Amino acid sequence: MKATCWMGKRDVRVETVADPQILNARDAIVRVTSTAICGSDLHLYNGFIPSMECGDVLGHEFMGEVMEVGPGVTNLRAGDRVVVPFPIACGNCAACLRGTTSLCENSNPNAVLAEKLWGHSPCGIYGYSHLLGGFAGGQAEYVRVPFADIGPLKVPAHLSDEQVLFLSDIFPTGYMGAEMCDIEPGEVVAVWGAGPVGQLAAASAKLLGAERVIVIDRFPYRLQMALTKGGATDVINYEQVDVYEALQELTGGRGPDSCIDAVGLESHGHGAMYAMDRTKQALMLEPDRPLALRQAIRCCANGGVVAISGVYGGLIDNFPIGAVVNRSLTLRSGQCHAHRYMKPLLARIERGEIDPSFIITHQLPLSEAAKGYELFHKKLDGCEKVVLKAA
Amino acid sequence: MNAIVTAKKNSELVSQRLPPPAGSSWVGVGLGLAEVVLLGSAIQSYRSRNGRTKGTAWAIGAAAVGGLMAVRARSAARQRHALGGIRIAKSITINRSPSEVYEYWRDLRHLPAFISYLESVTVDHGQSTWRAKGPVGVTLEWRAEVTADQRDEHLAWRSMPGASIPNRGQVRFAHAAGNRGTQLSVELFYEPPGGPLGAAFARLLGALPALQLESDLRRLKQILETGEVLHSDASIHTGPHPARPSSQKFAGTSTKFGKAGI
Repeated sequence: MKATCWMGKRDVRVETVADPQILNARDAIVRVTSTAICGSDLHLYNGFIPSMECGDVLGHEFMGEVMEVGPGVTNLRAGDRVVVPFPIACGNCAACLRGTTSLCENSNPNAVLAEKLWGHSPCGIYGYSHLLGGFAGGQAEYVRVPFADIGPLKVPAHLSDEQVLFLSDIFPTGYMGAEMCDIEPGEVVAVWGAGPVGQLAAASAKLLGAERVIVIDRFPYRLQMALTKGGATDVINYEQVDVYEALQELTGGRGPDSCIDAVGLESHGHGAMYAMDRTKQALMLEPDRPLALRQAIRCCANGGVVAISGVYGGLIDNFPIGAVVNRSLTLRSGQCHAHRYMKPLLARIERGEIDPSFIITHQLPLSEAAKGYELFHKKLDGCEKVVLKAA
Repeated sequence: MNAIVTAKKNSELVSQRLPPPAGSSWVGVGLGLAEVVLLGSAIQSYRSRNGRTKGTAWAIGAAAVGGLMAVRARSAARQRHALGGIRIAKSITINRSPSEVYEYWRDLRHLPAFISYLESVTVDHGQSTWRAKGPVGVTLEWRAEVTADQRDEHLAWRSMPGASIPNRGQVRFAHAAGNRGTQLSVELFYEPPGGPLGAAFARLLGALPALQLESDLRRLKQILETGEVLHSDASIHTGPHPARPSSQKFAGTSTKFGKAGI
């Protein structure tokens, strides 16, 4: 089959690899129809996530048709059309039973390595490094789905791939970011990053009752999308205005009641701190670059919530712990427990409350995955979200 | 039974010469130099193969080597007073009752399903025969006997006299607080082969068998909680391998590929 392989930093290629096989009783093989490039794939692309191997198959946002199931899968059969959540989760361990599937205790065969980096291991994830399991990803014609009896969600035929594909990751991820904010009526939510997760976090904040949703980015086309389609009431271009001052003005000096970091470890910015982070990252002294997070903490209202939806992999410096402690801020984060959001969010899509496909700017055949990565990475041609059509 | 063993107590235990005094409940399972070397070489090859990429170099630096060095330094400090025995201890929580976990472990033939260096365990006449894969294709074999067996609580065993790697160990099955199943505590002791030099070498690598034991217990947890050992596209291979489907044909869903290539 054809699959998108990570060959090194900023080098992805569509190669011919072996077809996946059933390896465990609860596996399914899915023929991928649509798959997307995630912002977090760019961290792999740019070489920031450790333990990638030359040849790894990428992709954790995908959907398609069930081709084959193992003997332990009784709820799916060949021909079912499914969206697959990006965390691999067993459904049996204490974390899964609590609904926190991205903390599955059984789905990372390399948990011992992940523990050395993070203290404890999260779940395994498709196509997302060997620290997270060494699973082949879904930017391919076919993919093996472990624990297929609890992960994949059957989707109705009247909804298009584009409408439901993002249930695999970024819609639940954005929604969980907004949910972590415990939004009360009348509240102001600020979202750092107008990428796909930021757009869907802003839209979710609106769905959850925020009075005002402020989106911060540096690309006018992305801010425009947030205003016209993503549910933002206000936008701030941080290359043109001071974000702190702008937020103070928009909120009567209170600051946003909650802040969502939808940027993660490669954030951009200005000034001495940005220069220092970039230099340290280049020298591998500081793996992650936390400008957006620092700013979100500084800007957040007293007693507010800072929710981290963006991906961080390692360590950060100059963390403003004083602001967190002295102003009673709550930090929340987590890889999305996608399983628990998929059904309710599908219901919202079916009811017409939201159509997440508004973020798609590019559709390419799988064979042009490398071009898709380049467009997305360089923000060329107004790129917001790339969907690859594998069939 | 107190599952927490202090460092002082450890060194006392470790310094006991094998076989243990009569009546002792400290008995063992074989963890050979074999696995020390296997795991060590796995990590070495992982490192050398991947020095090419910045991301992976970072991984090895931060995740594997850094972590291992830290653990190793602690282990070395802990074992400095040992007279040659190596102690490995790990604990894991399994979402099954102590009785279920005990029943599974008590049938020693199940052990190779999750202990990666074991090829087989056979049981006959109250004793058992253990076969393990050693380095460079050598197979080690020894006989062992169960020396303590408290249903749903405690199991202990040791190798019979004459084993090339004298070893002993015990497993405790305790209720995990808050209805979280079983808190399983495993403690293994072994006498490395090769005289003082071999002992020094094994001590130097003291952290690696501990990592191996932890991986083994995670596989046991997978079996008991999910029904089998989970494979990923990379873990079906014994060494480092890209996360892409294998061109080899794997038949069935048995656990025979459950030897995670770290």
